[in-house]
Amino acid sequence: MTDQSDAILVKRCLEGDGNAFEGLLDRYQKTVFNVVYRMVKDVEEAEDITQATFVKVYENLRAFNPKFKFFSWIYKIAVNESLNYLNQRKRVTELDEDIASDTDDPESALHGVETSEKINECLMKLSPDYRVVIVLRHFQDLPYNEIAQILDVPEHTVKSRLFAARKMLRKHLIRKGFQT
Amino acid sequence: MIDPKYVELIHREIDGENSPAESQQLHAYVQKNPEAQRLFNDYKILLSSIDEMEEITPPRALKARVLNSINPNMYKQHRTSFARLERLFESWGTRRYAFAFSAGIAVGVLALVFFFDLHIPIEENNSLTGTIISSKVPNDFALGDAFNVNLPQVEANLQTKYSNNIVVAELALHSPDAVEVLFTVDGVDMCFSAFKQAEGGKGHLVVNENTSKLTSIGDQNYVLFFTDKTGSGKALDVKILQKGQILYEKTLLPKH
Repeated sequence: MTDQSDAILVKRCLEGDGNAFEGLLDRYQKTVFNVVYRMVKDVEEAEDITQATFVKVYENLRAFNPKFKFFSWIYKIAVNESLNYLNQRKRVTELDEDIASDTDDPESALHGVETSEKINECLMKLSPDYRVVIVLRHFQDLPYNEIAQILDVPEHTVKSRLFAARKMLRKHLIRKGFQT
Repeated sequence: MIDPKYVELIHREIDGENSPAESQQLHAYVQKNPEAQRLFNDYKILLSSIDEMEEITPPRALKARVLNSINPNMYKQHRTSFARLERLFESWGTRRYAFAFSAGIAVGVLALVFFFDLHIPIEENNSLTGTIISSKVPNDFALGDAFNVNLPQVEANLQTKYSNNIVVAELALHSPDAVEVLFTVDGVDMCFSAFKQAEGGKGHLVVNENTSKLTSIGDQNYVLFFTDKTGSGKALDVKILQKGQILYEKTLLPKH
């Protein structure tokens, strides 16, 4: 089953083959779960959102356009579900505008960023729009154009958000004590 | 102070977007500008730290939760019952007539059932939800252990059936007050797969790691499916509880 393309599995699923959806689930559950987890940083919430994502994927399979990549579509649904959740909960730390517009501090530098927990904490300090580009670019290794497709924004917007997000992330990490 | 042009080149460099000439230009610049060098190094450290972060393994129950949340017949019904008619009407460009026609057929069938009390076997009842099992599978099943409980609080009849990689537990329950039935498997070779109950059923199933907890009240019928990776038939521990007190427990095995 793993050798079959996503498009074939989708087609089989639409033809009533229940095992085909299980194949898609096996293929993408870990990726989707990780994207969602990086967005919400809570295993139980990530599990709920991942479940909601796959149910939505299943129920909207007819809307999937096979001209596009299936994983981009599933990412898009997962990202939207995560953003909706974060908006509803309103538990995100607001973007620190001072940090976004800060000039670089020449005395600061990152050294020994060894703990993933610190990065996770700082990631959660970014607003979701900025966090998501870091997650897709650096945790999922997606190129600008695919991120643009997933987020429905122009490629130049992805770049500017990504550059700003990195800058904010660096600042937050330096504030956490990663300084020379 | 870093020239904004080089800040962008730093970002593009770590994304692998710079041309060789741009990379060369950037490296020459950062060698002369310690502030730019620090910024470049910081981003490299940050991104290599992210690269080293391990992927999180999703909870084992996630797959079962998803499969239990979807209607497995959603596309099957469409294909077998109405797809041909719909295609026919679509080709005429009169889709609304397809719905009217289909609705007419549905009303006719319902009227037949109502007036002539047609018997519809439960296996063919599409109102059952939560299944991922093929309709061919029941023919391959071998009977496993069973139990019959007759207590003041609960009457229960459970029959296990074993196929190659599937274990089925068919459970009939009668309890005036709510009872819980815990199904425990080893969680490695055998894990929960799917759950069925008749439409309108009051059962509520919560799957957590290797335990599936079914809460039930009244007269109910359930079917639980477990996947057995070994195919050799694994033990299924069943406990019936009420208000935290164990009323009955048994370990069920296949009959070899």
